[in-house]
Amino acid sequence: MKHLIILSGLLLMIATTSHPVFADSEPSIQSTKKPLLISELLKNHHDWDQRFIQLTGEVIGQPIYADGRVCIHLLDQEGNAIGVWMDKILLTEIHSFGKYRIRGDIVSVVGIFYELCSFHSGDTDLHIDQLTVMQPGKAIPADEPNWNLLLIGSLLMVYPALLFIQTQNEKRKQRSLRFRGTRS
Amino acid sequence: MIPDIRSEDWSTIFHFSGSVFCFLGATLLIPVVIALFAAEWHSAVNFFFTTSLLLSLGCFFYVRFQPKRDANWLHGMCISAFSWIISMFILALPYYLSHHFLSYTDACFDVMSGMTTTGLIMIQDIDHLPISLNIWRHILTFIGGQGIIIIAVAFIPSVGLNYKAMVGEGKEERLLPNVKQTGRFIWIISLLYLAVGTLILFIIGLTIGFTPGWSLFHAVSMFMSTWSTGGFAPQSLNAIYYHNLLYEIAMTVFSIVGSMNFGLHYYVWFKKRRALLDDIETKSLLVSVTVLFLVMATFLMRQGIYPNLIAIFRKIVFNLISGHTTTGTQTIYSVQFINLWSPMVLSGVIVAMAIGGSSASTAGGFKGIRMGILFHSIVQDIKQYFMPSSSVNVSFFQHLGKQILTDKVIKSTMTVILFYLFFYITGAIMGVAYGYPVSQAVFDSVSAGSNTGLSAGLVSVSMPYPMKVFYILSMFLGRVEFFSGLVFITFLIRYVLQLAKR
Repeated sequence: MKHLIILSGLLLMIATTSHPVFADSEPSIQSTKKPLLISELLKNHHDWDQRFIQLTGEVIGQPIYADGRVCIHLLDQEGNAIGVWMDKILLTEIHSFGKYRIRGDIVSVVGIFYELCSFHSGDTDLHIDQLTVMQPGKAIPADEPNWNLLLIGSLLMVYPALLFIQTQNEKRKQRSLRFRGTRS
Repeated sequence: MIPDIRSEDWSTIFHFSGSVFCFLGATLLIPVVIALFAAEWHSAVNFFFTTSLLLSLGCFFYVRFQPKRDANWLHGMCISAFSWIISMFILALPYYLSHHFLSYTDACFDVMSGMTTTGLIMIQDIDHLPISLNIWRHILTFIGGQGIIIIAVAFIPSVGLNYKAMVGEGKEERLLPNVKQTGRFIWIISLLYLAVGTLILFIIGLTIGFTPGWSLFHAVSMFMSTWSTGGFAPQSLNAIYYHNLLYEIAMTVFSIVGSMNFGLHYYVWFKKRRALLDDIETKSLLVSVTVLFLVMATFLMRQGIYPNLIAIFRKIVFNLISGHTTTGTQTIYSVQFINLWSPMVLSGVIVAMAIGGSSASTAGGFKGIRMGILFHSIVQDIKQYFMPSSSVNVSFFQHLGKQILTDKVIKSTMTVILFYLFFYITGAIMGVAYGYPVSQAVFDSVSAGSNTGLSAGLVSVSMPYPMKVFYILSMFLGRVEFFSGLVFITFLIRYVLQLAKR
């Protein structure tokens, strides 16, 4: 334990004497508006850090509340998602959240992208003040069950079911034999 | 000279594997019931078909093939390997039939990833997955974490599977004199933690605004994922989805508890609490986590990318513990491991993943106990030079009681570590040969071999087919600690050669 404490001290000394410790606390925000895909944003996250961006995606899951604001999640067609923080009032615009059999609202949002957000412990997220529903959510028709599989499954189930009945009968017989044995 | 394989060897393997299939078939009734309640008819039929297939195959094997003699070590190893491989192919059916996979290989990859508690995924569109399938992914991880052989031993009354099959699955501790009691104890521990852990996550879920149903779904899923050191999550964003410190703390604690030796749980609960602090695995975990944390924190601070100390602390602690316990839940995007973290920081996670959790736990990697033994043996060797040549130097370590460090223990430790290193390096070379960056290839290869599940972006549906197959093999062999897989491969080769000779 002693060694660990000494090592901790040494490493922290190196850390504090080295040059950069934290990122700039007051970033310069450039007003750049360009429609983006989430995948493109995540791939080149450094280039878009602290810039105004426009993003389109499907709202999925459920909103998360923290510090008087709300976070929704946007999903693009390539399966990439991102957290979007906004004012609670904007949530009233959204009517459908994507999940099984439900396609969430497709929304377009405008806000500042943070590669490592200082408000949310270094998360990669987006802080928006504009949200427009491009396409309302809808129900997705469920896949039709494969009735042939049900039939085959039922037939296959006959064998274990018969075995189970047979085992139970044998057990019952043995029990009754034992019962007779104890009586005699 | 390896003795001839006889038909009764096959009978013994089939008979006991049959009981494992029966058990897995019975557990598949859980998603059938969930699917019926949620009116997910397509999923219900797919799961019902798979249940029927497993039950009928299991019954057939169990009844048709009778063990001719007591199972020995060979049978124990082969039962374990055979059950895992066949189960993977059958359990991939409902995955593939769900239309959320692009190929059957991808479905097999996800099943093996789940059963081995790895957490790497090939599944498409998780956010629109049927609830029954989504929960089943996590249940499978939970079952795989405790061990499918153990579950069969614990709950099927007539199963005569023994300790040898458990060892074949990488669970070596004899907690109680009876193997069945040991299996049951492991399951009682897991179910108790499941109840408590789910309740905690459920309450946290409610505080961040989830509806009760949604919160329960996430609580059950994430508890099973973290306790079994699996790494799956019900949403594509994995742990990033929650944006909540309490959720992260709870997940981290569950990962640590899950990655501890079941034997240690038993000792702490029923024998002596002090065992937790004295144990070589706890010490090994404590030392490696502290050192790696400090190295990673130092280099991340030097990079100066994070806005404050809290952000650095939170990101490192969560992802480092996730890697070290081989859980694989992540709070940063896969691409950011490579693009954002410097190679030195990345190396910290790679080393943590390679070491892994404790032996006889839900975790993977070459395990803390082996790191501890390796360290002790080096110290012992150095000490020897300072002693008179006639002296005998005996070293001890604490692991569920006082143990002597013998040459045999050191040799077996070194063998297993070398196997792990071989698979880590082979996977990495393969990745580089296919044109992936070195850091990405090493990271994902170690992640698969140690059953972690963190990814730097290499594992995806576009991954070359041979790499998918290699990763499946790597996950499987890493989970069973190589021997049962290698013994089964030797068994098969021997049998084929025998047939060819005839």
